[in-house]
Amino acid sequence: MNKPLLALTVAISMALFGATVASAADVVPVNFDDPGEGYNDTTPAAPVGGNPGTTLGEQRQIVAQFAADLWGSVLASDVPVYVGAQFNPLGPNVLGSAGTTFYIYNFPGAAYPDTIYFSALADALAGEDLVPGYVDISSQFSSDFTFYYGLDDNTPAGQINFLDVVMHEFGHGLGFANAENEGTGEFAGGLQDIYSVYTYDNTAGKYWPQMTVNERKASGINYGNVVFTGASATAGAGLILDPRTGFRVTAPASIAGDYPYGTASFGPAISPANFGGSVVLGTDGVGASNDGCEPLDNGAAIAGNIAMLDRGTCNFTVKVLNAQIAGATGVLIADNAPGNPPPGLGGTDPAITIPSIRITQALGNSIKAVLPGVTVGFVVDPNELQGADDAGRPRLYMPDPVQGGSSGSHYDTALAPNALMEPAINDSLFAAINLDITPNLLQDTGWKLNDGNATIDGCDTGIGIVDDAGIIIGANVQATSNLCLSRAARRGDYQGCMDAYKGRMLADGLITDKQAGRMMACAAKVGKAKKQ
Amino acid sequence: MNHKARTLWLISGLAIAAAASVAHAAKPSTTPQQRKAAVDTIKRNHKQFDATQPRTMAQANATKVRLSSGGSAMRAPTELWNHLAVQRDAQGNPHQVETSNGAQAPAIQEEQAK
Repeated sequence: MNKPLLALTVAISMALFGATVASAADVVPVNFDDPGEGYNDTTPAAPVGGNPGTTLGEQRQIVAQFAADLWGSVLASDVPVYVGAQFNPLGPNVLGSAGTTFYIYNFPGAAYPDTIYFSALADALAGEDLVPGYVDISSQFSSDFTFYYGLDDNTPAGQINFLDVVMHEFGHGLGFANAENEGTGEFAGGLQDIYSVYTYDNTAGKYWPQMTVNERKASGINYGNVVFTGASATAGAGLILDPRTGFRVTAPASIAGDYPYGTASFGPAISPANFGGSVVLGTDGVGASNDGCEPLDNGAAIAGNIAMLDRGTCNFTVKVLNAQIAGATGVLIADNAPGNPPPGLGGTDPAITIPSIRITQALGNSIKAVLPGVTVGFVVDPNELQGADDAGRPRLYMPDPVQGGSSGSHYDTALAPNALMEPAINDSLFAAINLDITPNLLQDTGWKLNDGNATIDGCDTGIGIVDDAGIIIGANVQATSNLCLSRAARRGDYQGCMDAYKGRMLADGLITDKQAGRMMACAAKVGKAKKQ
Repeated sequence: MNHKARTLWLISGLAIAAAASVAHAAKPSTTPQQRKAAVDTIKRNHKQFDATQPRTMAQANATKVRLSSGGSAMRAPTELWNHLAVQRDAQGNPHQVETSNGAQAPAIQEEQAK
């Protein structure tokens, strides 16, 4: 059977027998690029990381379709989701953009009145394409940048995994975002949005729609105190987040508490075992005498304690090394500019053997005001979750000052392990398999998740599409089956592609032998005539 | 708002209104033929649609229309879209961050040396 016939046979049989997958969303990338560029770039490329494309454009298309199939498997909708897809030269340092094209409200099926829903979700809830003829999501990526187009978890150092980027950006377009400007506190159209309905400020004790514009503007920079309260996201957070770890001021009582901090790229990682004790302000007697840029002149007081130094003038590594030479067991670097959370400490110096962290300017001032008598530590609290509030609700990223494009519409960078929808995508993610608590949040906003098993041509593989913790192995099975099918000229090619996939999944421990057998039994039926 | 901008918003509004007039009769496009037809229509509309996507919230507010299905719609402003940027640290490693529309990538956060 040639390629078109094989694909057509499967399409027809899915229409006839595929009732179990009818609710899977059909996410359709719509390629807007001209011939020879972007998604149609004919530059030869070697297949990489499970991506069989042989041109740059083909590899890009395969990743976009794979991402569409993953999201389409996880979400349920009877209405196709059309995603505009383009690659363009976007200039230095810009990787791309994505967003919903329409805000829709007061449509049949909306759970909340006068509430903005993103186009794809509104269509899913209404059961029809409410604004046909246009894409639901617009996405654009940079043709100036070299991405890694593999579908696996082997992104080389120094490259960026395109699949993770696309999964993240599609996530925004599907509804992981508000319709509010954190810089002004204003809602688009003067209407609350469904994401903001669940956005709660623990300090104000109010949900965002309950706030005035000015209150919301203040909440938009209330770092660490704004959470997403949806039941599914909260339940998911309890399943995946690590125990809370953090920097704590233990005395005096007037400033005791947990505070945000930035980690260092040099020296040992901070831990309860290596960080704790009394704080002593380091002095060097030169210029800004607390910056630690010269050898410290109060070594007798510093020795055996935590040195506190101010940011500025010289590299962080110089300061920490001077404190170490003076006998400090750890270092606090107090920022010299306002802002929250504190960024990390960059630099390298293998001579540094003590831990160091960065704290806010505000906390630095508070500590200085009550010295001596300040004690600090690094604590692990097994009863609380890292990146969630005490009620277990995941935090949203609300840095001070506002970071346009990052504030509000992301999980907090404090979450551990890292989440797909944090503002800084990093190489610890593997969105082809793990969407963490992203589907949970989308479920809270109204999306239905496919809680059944992956199917191949209507055959149940026994592999769950998505679990409560956002593991999407079943979705990966369906997306891979689609990819194998799209590339196979004959049934044998498809079987071989799926067999290789089975081997990789077994080797990685992602499926059991029993699941592998059932998956391959389903794959073996593809292209065969079915009994009516 | 100048004449050209006003024209763009008018076109934008008309595009939504035209779509709205057929929305009520629309059914889920589930067959390959319906899907292809929908994609072809989207591609035909793309250039005009793309050119009229509002940038600011004020511009977006001006695109509000009622849908025949009983709901209402407005175009989303690109200033609220998520824009992805990359920074490189001193070792050349890329770090991705999201920024607002048209904004330069902020100074690198994780790897400031001083």
